Amino acid sequence: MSKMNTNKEQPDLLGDLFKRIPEEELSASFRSNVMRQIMLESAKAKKRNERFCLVAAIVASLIMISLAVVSFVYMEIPQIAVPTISTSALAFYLYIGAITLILLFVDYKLRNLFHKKG
Amino acid sequence: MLPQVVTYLPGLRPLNTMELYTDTYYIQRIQAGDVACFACLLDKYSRPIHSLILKVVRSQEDAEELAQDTFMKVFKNLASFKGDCSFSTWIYRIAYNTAISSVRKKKYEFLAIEETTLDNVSEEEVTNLFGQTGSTEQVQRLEAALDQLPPDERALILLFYWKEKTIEELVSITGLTASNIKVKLHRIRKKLFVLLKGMDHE
Repeated sequence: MSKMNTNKEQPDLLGDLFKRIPEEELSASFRSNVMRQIMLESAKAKKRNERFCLVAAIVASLIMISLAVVSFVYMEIPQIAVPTISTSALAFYLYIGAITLILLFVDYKLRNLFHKKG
Repeated sequence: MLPQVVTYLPGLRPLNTMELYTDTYYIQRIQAGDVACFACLLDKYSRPIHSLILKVVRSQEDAEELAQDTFMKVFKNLASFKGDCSFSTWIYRIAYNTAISSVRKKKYEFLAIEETTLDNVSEEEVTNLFGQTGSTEQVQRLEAALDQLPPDERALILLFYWKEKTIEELVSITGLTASNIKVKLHRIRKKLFVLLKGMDHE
């Protein structure tokens, strides 16, 4: 046992004999076949990755929306009170709005008249 | 003085021409998305890997298919290669496991040699026989003797002597302990001696 050259420190006669065993030739199509499979696998992996990213983005978005809804509706965070408009105030706003529109219309007409004369 | 050629690749540090042909460089490029670089690894390892598998499974068709499987496994698991061992050792580990799994499924027949016969063989006899003039005929006889060994033993001795893997590398490739490998190699040498002697008598 001790004489077997397992650490390759000394030249081994059996090793010399083995080194003369020729390597077998590969078929010409081997390289192209493997590379075709590799390219297909690569394309599949890319698609898988894209799908995974899309699903991850959708899941993350849904979680965020759910959290927002839960916090806003049930936990009332942030505490925002939606203002209610009284009917008397609404009539006042409509009145002001109508005056603004009328004045804008009058301004528009007067400008047209002024440009025509000029 | 010639200008130093420097290659730039997004996400990688610039490399000079001396580093262009290392396995690590190709692995980095493949991981960066340059899949075509796998062809360089294929060119380097396809023939030795195929030869080893062919010697283990002894079928040209199976060997080519298993070699393809090996390279597909290498590509799929390239991200898991952390560089704990050399890329060569890693790829041989995959090839060894692929070939051994295949022959285990098929249940090949091989010659059984009695333990007492092996125990009666001295190391001197083995050394003397293997030390005889190494003609082509002797290589052919060795190949014939190898064919009669069980696939796992054939793989082990081929990795050690033919592919010149060290005991440490064999530990990584086969998953066996160093002492177990040494004992196995010792017995395989004796088996080869008995088989070659048997051929002499024929």
